[in-house]
Amino acid sequence: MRVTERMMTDTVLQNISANLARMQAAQNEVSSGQRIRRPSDDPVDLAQALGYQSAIARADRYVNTIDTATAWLNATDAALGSTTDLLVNARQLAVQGANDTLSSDQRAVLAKQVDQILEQLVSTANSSFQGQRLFAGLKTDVDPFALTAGPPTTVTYNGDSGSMGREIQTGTVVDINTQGNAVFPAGFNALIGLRESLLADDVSGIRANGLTALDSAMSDVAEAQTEVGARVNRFQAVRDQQDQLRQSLTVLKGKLTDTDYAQAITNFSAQETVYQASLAAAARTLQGSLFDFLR
Amino acid sequence: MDDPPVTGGFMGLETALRALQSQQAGIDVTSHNVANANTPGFSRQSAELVATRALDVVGAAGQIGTGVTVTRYQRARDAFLDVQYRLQDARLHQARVTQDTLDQVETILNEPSASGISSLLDRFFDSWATLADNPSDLTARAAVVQQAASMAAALNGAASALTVLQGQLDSSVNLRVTEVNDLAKQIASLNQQIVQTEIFGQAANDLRDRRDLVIDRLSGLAHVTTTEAASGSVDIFIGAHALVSGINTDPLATTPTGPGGSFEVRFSSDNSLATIASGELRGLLDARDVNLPSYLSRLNAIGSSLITTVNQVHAAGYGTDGNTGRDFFVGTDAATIAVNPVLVADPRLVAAADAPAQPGNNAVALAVAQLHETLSPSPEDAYAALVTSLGIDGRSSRDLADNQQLMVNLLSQRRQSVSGVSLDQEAVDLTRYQRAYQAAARVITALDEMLDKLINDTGIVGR
Repeated sequence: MRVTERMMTDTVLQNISANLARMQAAQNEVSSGQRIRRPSDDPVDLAQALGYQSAIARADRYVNTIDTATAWLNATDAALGSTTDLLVNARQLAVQGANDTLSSDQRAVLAKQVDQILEQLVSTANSSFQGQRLFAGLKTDVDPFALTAGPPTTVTYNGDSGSMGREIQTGTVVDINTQGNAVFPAGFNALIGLRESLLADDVSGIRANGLTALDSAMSDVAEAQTEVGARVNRFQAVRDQQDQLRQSLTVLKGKLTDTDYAQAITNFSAQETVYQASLAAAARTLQGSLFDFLR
Repeated sequence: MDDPPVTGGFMGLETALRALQSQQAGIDVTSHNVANANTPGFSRQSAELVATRALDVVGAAGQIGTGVTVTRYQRARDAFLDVQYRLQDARLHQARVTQDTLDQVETILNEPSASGISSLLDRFFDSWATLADNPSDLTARAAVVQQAASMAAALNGAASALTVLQGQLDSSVNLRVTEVNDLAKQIASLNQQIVQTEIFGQAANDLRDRRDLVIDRLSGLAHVTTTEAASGSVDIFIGAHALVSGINTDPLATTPTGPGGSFEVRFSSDNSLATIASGELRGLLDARDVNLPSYLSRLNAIGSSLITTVNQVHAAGYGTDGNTGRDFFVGTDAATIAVNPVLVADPRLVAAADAPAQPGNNAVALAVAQLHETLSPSPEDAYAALVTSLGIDGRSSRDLADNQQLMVNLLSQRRQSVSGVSLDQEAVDLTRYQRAYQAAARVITALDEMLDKLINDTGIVGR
């Protein structure tokens, strides 16, 4: 093929700018730390990376949900714990009151103490977490339990039986609230019955209300507390799972989108060498023609 | 050979004179070539030297030569390569426009990035999940409204940037059509000059170079086919319709009759649609009418699906004021999506519950947060698919443009190989013509000395 100076300058220019462009791309990858900076850099890997990104966001979300829900469950657990304590105290009073040697005055004193425990139990049943009543169903803004005027003979429930669902992993919605209406009334009734029996000097009533009914109320509370504990454990397991998932997805996404520095820097040096070589070659080929030698 | 010619004493001088003139012409052509070594579109020229008519010598066998003359000045050009080059160059221009457009769409969508629509979609649903965790929390409601507003703003921004880009392409169509008409006029005018020059038998080399250059530029804008008449005039066709015939042009016109009032390219004479096979104009029209609308409609589909589905769930829910039936979003597509201004003014009205007066109720917030699972495809997936196909289109358009560039480079080299000026060759030619000129001059000196002998030193006896 016949070769002209113009062809050589054109070729040299094309090659130099192509090499420069490749060097710039390599440099860009090193300095940005991103292997994929725009969709066309690697559409297939980007599609995967976007999928991972959404999955990471979801795992993050579930971990957050579980953390918030766990705090609620812990608060519930604490409230149920103090409920048990109160019922244990009441049971001790019942044991005392069932003693045949006690006078009716002494029983009246015990009855007063039972009344106080009842008030404390109501206040525990009305306890809240971050302003939300734990045991009110979904009516979390008002105290669910109220004593009728003293001496109280009944406790009314103003909450509802709604359940609070939390999505802890894709498609799995778990209720986190303990239904106060199912846990507390037995205790309330046992305490009221105990107080009435104490006031009436009714020893068999004290045994029935104080001991049997309190035991049954305590086992209700214990059951609820066990269930809360079981949920905390389950949440923790799911949280660990999601956390691991999040970590491995982050690694996978990084492999797809982040610069592999060893490779990128090697590539950059190679491109740099090629560019320098093309400049050197250009400097030598572009000078001179036959005119330099004719005299 | 009518009469037997007679060789005379002055014939040699005549021959030498023709030699001087011819070699001089050769040097002139060389000088012209060297001068235009860097002129775009210039084709190397050469003087075609031919021996002049020989004379029969009376009484002798054979003929005697009478020297040399320049019959014509030739232009080194391969018309087949021109056709090839223009075809591929038109495709290159088209591919570059597609590539540039997709590049800009990539810039508009700005993926992958922490501030792209994909992240904002994730954060939008995340804010609903946070509200579902704390249904009575006012800050969580405010966060839902804010995240929704930034997501809506990003969708609005992308949709309007795509529309603006479409408008820019439309005005480019108009500009390029003006350029096509201008080039067509230049070709018609060059046709006229070439025909006028060549009618006297002279090759209008430089005018032809200029015309070829103009046709190169024209075919980069819109692929054309050419036919050359015997007179030297070239007719230019876009599709089957003549754009230039001889000294007349049928200019293109843009009429705002396309979809959405966009420009259509039609011939002025009969108002017929120009069928542009390739070239920059084809690229602009395709980018405007095919590429961008496809991305815009997919983006709008994502926007309208968000509006419909979120509204459907939200309208069934209750705000903290106990009222129901409110839409979360207003608008119809990605361009118009916005958070219901009522909710922006008072985030407490965001519905998280599916019943009134239940601050702990998160059923609606949870249902919205779960939309990314219940919808198929989810908005995130639909958007990721959009970005992926944009990436694939962008990648293949870049590959196509790069391949096309290689092809054009190769053809350009081949054209250069045929038509380009080689300074080495010109140096050799210059030396060749110079030497021949010197030799012819020496012949004149010899003849002059001979005639001098004959005239001044012969027959002087008795003078």
